[in-house]
Amino acid sequence: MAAPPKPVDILQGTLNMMILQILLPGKANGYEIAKLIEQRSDELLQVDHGSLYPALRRLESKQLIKAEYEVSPTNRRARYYSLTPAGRKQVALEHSRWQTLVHAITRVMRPA
Amino acid sequence: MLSRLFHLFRNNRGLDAELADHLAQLKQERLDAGDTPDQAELYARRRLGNPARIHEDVYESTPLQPLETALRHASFALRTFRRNGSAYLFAIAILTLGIGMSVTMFSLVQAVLLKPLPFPDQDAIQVIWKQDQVAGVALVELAYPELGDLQALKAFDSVALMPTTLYGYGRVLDTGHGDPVQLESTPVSHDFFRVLGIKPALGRDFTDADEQVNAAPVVILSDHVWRTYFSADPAILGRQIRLNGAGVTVIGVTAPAIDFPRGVDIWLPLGVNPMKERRGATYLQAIARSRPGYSASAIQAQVASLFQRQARDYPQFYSKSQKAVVTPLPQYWTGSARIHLWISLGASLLLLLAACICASNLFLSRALARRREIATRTSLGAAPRHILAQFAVEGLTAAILAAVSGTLLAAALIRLLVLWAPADIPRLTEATLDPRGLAFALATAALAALVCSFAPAWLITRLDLDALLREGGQRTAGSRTGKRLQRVFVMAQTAATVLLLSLCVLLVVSYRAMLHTDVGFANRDTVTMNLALRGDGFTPQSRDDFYTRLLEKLRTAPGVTHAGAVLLRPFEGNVGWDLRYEFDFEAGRHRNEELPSANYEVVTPGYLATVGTPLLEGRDFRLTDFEKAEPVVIISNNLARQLRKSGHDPLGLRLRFGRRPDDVWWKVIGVAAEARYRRVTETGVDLYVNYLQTGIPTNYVVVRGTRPTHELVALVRQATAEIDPRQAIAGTATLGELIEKDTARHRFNMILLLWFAACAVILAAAGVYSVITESLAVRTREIALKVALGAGRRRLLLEITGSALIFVVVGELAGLVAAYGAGRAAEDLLYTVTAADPLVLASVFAFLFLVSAAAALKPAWTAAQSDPRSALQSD
Repeated sequence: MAAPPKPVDILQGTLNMMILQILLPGKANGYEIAKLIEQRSDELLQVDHGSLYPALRRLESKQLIKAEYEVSPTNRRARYYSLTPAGRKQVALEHSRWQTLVHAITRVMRPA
Repeated sequence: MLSRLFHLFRNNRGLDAELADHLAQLKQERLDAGDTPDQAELYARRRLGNPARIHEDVYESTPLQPLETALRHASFALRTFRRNGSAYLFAIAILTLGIGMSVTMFSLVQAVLLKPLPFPDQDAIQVIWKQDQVAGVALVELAYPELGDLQALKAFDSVALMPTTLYGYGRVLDTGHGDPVQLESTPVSHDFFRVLGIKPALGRDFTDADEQVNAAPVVILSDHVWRTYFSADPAILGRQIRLNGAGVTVIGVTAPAIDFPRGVDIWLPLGVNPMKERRGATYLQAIARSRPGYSASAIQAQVASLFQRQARDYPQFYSKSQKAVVTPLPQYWTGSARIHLWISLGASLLLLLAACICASNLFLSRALARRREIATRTSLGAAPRHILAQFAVEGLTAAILAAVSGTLLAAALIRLLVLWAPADIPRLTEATLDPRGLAFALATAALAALVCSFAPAWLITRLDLDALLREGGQRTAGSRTGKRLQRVFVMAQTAATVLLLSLCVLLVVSYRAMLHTDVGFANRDTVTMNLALRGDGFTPQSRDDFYTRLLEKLRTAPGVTHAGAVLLRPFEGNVGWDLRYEFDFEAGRHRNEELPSANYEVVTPGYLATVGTPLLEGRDFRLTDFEKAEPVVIISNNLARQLRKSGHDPLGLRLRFGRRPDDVWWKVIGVAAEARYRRVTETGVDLYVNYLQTGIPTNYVVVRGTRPTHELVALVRQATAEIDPRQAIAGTATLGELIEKDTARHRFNMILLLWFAACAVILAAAGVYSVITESLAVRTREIALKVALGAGRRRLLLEITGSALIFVVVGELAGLVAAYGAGRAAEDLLYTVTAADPLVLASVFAFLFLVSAAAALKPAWTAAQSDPRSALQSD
């Protein structure tokens, strides 16, 4: 049986993009975003939970996401993030940019 | 306090709550999976990471609002201040001193020199006289007919004449109630106020008609005379007042600020004097308003060529060696106060600079001590600009605090100086802390902030972070650069201090010399006062009679030991009665303008004994030296020495004033010690003649006795009233006070500089001390090792202090060069000492070196004495 693949760190600069993608269907709080990233990558991506918040603040200050207070499953007031219209546009942009990048890198990395 | 506020920001942003929620969800996740609460807690904490760190990261990564940035830096600065409290307090105290002193001086300069005079377009007004360097006369006066000559010049819009001196034109005002008073009057030609660009506040200006000989007498009153003697009566216009016993019509009252010439009480028309026709009657200077478009050099050239034409057209009155002196009114107004104040302002700025350097040095020391902290922060991702901003904010915070306290200090100092300043600096009493002063304070604070943040910032750009973190921050990268910078600071500061100290010592030496100068008046308690006889009907004979009777009365009064009278008392002004003279043995050998001139004094017998000018040879005047008897003269010792050198015995020689064949010959009957009549620092030849043998009156009474001054004055007043109740005395002062007043500006300047220099020396010592202390702090282990290995303590001391003291010496040398230059520029203020005086320069050098050495040795000695074991074990 093949050993399960080792988790990898998140590629620099891609966390923002993934947060936006996660928020596309609807709102989520910080913990949920981290968990969703990990689940959707089949636990391959290890999110540094601590580094999530600077990223969220950055996106918020760029007005790509907005935050509202709601009660979390642990019965606390927590900030729930959702995309702004600008954020939605940004997701589309990031999508095509990512596709191009992956395509390009794949070609570069293909075995000679 | 700020950090509390800052905390508020954090809570508002909800990060704490958010992280707590995150933690709870992580924990719940593990609990659901079956972990114990402890395990779950541990996992959650590990997964999320250090909340403080997240806070930091969030701050570092989010673009901040400007307000928040500022608050953040300020809060950090305050925290750092608290941690390094004493050092920052010291820095702020130093800056306070520097800012306070310089703002004070700026406010004085502003009040005296920069604030415009109450005359519109003041720079267009010129004061004009002549000087004759060939004859050595600094002030050759003009005569009334030259008014027309000057008015013909295209450069001038209007021209007026006025006397060169204030004294000599007094008028006795009969107030109608109480004693008569003497007022200082200035006769002026009728365009006087038009040249100044003002009109009387009440009534009318002088006109051409007022200036005709035999015109009805009119007067313009100054505001203070109008208020003091006429209770500000608006109906004063057209009223007759009694001046010198004659009725004079008041035609105007000036605005309050009009005080030109300084100290004037009333203005009279000049041209009513029949002397107006004579070109030889020189006692005037001109003021002129230039037309727009004429430069200073163009005006100078026009006046100069006029005076040359005069010498050609009237060779009997003027000589070609007479040169035009054209001074803008603002400069004329402030006179020698100008250079004194600029020097003090310059000195205070030097002190400010020294204070900035010293404070900057302290900030640099702190930065050096915090190298590791900075390196850590940088490696954790703090952008260099953030750290720079933090230092800038620290510098700015210190500068703002210092500016506030410095301004308060300045406000107090200004009040103090205004109370204590010599009265003869014009408008000094008007000095206040005005908006310009505040703007200046702001500028100084900006300078301080810049200097204080510059040094640490520069250091950071030089930091080699890797090396610093690797080596552990003891004796590491960045420290060498920082040390070098600190030593350059010590050098600059020492140079500034030497400059200040040298100037100060030069002034102190000069002042000491002034105090100890034998001015020729031994009896400083002699009371002097103006008693120029006013009114119609006086002849030379009746004036002499008045004085003869007065002095007789005084001499017989109880408690009076000496009494006399003189034409012009000592130190009454820069201009006296200067007359040219020649001796019989050289008669006719020189042209008139080549003759030497001497201070001419008409005195009564007993005058010299009263003021304490010793008679060295021959005899004093006697009441028997009558008009009909042979004219006699007493000369001063410096002239007697000259005569002896050329082989003549002064006694018995004869001299005459001028060289006209009909001038009478005066026989020298005595030699008096030298006396200084113009200024304490000015020597000259004095010639005394007997009041009975000349038509020129004595105007000042001198009296000495065993009674206090005010009783002597009352005695003179009473004796005067008994002989002629119309007369009034004015300007009472002892000889000591007159001498004091002559040196007051110098003393004022000297004391200010003394203050500045003392502060600068303390700052310099503090600078050296902090550099040594700082260098020792990072070398504790090294020194301990050396001591443990048996290094001699003396050698160690030399090694520790030597390197810093070399910079002190270099700074001192640079300062001495600057001091020499500054001293040369201010040579006019120096007396009996030159800017290159080796003793002064050497003692300043030695003194500052000793102070620096002591400041360096103190911490070095402590370090060398310390037990090496404790230092070695501390790490």
